[in-house]
Amino acid sequence: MTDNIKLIHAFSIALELPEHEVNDGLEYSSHKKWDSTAHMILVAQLENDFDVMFEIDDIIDMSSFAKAKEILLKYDEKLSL
Amino acid sequence: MVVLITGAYGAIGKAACFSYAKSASLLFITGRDQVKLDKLTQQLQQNFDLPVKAITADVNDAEHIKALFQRLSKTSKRLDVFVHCAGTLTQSPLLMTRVDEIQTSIATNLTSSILFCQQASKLMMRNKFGIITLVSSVVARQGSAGQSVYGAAKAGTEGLVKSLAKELGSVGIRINALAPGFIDTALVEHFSTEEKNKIADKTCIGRIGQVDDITPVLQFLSSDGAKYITGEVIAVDGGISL
Repeated sequence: MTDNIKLIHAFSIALELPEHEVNDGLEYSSHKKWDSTAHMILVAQLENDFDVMFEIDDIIDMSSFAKAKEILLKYDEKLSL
Repeated sequence: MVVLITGAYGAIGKAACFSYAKSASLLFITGRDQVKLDKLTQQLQQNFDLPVKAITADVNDAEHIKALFQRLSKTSKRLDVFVHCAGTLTQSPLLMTRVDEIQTSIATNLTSSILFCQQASKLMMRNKFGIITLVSSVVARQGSAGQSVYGAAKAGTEGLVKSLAKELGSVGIRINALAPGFIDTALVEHFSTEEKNKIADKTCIGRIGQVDDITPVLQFLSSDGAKYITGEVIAVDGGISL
């Protein structure tokens, strides 16, 4: 599984969305399923799947799928996202 | 069941460690003093057949708390029960309390609860399950002369419990607090026997509390029997608050 597929899969599970709906256009609060509760679950899912612990500032900044990639790369630059 | 206990070598914390050691599969204990933590780890390992991981941390330091959870998540990947026993009691009239003493009391008794809940709940969300129990005090609701800052911090803790119960319930995390009354620990060793007797007379039960009055309630709150209880503050005070 590539890192990108892993990330799509993590978003899909956390936000309870079909994988085809997970793309760079997906944004916090603009999709009805990505609310504050789902955001907490998403953070936990990403930390678990990518073995990282996010700073609070990064949790706040994680406002889209594209931004999540950018933030994850800060923690592990070897990821192919 | 993976359990984390702060203030582990304090009277209530130590009793909690011995109590949870009977049911936990992995026990994390924390406190500021490495020597005391090591001694407690040794005692627990002599008495129970479970892995005990001691992590030295100052609850007043956000970086220490973060580092503690980094170590914890590397070791276990999950946290089921978090019991926050760390706290200090300072006794002085408000007019004789320095700003740094106020800040330290708020940091130890309230801010640390907030920061630990932030990290613990994040880890618990991975499994959509977790039980948090904070230690408040009867002083939060009843007040006590000379304990205004401590009482303010503990009242804040109770507010934290109510709001977090609403925030975290939908992701499978319960949070409650236990509010001990006058418990015979090192925190109150400066009270004379006469003063302790006077306090005992104010309880319905007619005695001051012991740490073994506390641990069964901690166990209950983290048991299946309490699976529909969240956002509550349970007084364990012999009826002193009535």
